[in-house]
Amino acid sequence: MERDRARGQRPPPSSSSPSSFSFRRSTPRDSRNFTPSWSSQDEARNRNRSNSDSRGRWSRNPLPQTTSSGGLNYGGASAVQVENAEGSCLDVPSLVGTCPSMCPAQEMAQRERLRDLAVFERLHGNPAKSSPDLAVKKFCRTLSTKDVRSSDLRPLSVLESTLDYLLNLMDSTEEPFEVVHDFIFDRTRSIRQDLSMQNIVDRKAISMFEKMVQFHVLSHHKLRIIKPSPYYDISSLHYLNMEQLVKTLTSLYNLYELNRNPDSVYNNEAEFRSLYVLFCLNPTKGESLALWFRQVPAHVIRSKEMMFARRILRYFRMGNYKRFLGTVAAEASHLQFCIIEPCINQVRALAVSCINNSCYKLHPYPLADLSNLLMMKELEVESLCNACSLDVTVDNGGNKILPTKQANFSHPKTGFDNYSFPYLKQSDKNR
Amino acid sequence: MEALYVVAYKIRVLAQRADREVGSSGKLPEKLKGTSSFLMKVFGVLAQKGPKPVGTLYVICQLFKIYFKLGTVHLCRSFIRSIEAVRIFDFEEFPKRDKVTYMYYTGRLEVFNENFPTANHMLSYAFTHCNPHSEANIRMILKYLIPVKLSLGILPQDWLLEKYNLVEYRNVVLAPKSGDLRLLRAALDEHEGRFLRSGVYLAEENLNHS
Repeated sequence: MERDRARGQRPPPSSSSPSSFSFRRSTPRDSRNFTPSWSSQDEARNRNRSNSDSRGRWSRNPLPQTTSSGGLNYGGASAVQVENAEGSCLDVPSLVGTCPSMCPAQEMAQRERLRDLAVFERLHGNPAKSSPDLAVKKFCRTLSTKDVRSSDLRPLSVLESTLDYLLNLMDSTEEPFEVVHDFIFDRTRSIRQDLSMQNIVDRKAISMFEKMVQFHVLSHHKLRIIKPSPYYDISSLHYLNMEQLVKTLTSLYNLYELNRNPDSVYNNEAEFRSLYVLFCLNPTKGESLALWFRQVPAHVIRSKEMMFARRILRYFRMGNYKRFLGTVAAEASHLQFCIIEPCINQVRALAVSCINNSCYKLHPYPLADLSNLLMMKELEVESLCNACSLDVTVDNGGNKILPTKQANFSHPKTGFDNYSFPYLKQSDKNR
Repeated sequence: MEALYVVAYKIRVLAQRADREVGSSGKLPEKLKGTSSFLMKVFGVLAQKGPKPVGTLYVICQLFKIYFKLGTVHLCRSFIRSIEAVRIFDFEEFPKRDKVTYMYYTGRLEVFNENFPTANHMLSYAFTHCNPHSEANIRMILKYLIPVKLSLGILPQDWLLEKYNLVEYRNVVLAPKSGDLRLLRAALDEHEGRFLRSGVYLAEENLNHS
């Protein structure tokens, strides 16, 4: 797995001298902030996954020279410093891309020959012909940045237009979503690779990363509800997407840190930070939140979105289903909702089990009330109850009721069906 | 060995000071990271020296301090494993000061991972074995021990909080005693920044449960 993340060539690991190479900025930073770094110690490598991913993203090739000099400012935004084993600093100028189109001409020609063109890249459906307007550079793990030519890298302006082009494809309905997702997934990964190889870390990079996070979040949502496909393993797509979501989020957070200065505030930072908290709702997926909170700046922690996320976290952990569902309906933005979604049904099942356990046996719970409480349609409530091995009966007035104190409640073993959440406020839907 | 201790300690302190100066003058603070790789090498050499790894615990404690300062706390794990490989009576042979420091940091790690029973064990060890005169150290240990014990249902006495000047915990302790949820919420909000920074905030939210 380490290979995926290495953008530059790693030095041969020697047992006694860990070399670390890291990526820095030459303007004042609080040393308390998290700095991405890479230690080639074996034990340290497979640590906290999101941290090591962001380290890999910014790691560079430590050319084995020992000269050192002062910082080299590239475009005033960043300097790359490489430490070799002796600890002396070395500065490597960042590459500048010069490729004018979305895909380097050489790669396009090669893929045309090999007929390795995605559906969206084919000119008039011809699998062996593409055009500069359609071909997009594919993601390819590079082992050494020494071999990368600047004509293969796309400069910032081209990357921005490529990203916009890709994200417009999200709405395309000609192909099934998993095909669209797979294509955009791969090509945006290549965009991120180009950005990191050129060390672009300014505000524009931030806005690009935000858009990519949005893509991953929306895919996270859509991949859960589409039907199984004969050509793609949806669950593995979903898993890989989650992985990249966390990686991109972490890189985005690093970018926020790198670009932090007292005058500027990023409008979206609070929301994107809150996404990580919400992602950690599910106990198996998140890393240690306590440690993560330490690195979030104070003004973000007190922002509306973060307070929302923390409240949701609290309600979820305490099992306060009513407030959980109510707050989600009232305050979640679309992105936040997509991340919370898997937990909603868990909470609903918990609610049903609580009601089943504690309500008075002689007064069965009307399904209509239950559907208000759980924010679901009645039919779906019924199916949820059945999935939890509870029986639903009909009372004298023809209304459906849930007799309580049933003994055989059990959480659905095979996961939940996709119930809707119709009460979500729709205003952010089209972001 | 004494010389080694002095070197390790001084290099960490110097690196911290250097970083602070470098940071305020506009360049990048790198020295602490360099120190950590240097100390890793020292540890490697010491660990290979023979059956009794004398002095390694001291070096490890210095490394822990660096990692906690830098935030790269996950790198501690490899050292913890190597200490756990040492047998129990060998561990007892390390100097008390090192054991207390080691237990303090591992306890903090467990607090971050929300692993409260283990954290309780480690921090209590540190607390009971700590020199009663080093009040600053005891205060640091208590800062983490109190929330851990609170989530296990053990409340500290008031005189303890007063003696070590842990005012921020006063209401947090009072609230479970009287069952006052609002007081707890208010106390958490008031000292939010401090609690979040020390990583105990989520632990204290669990008090809402109990």
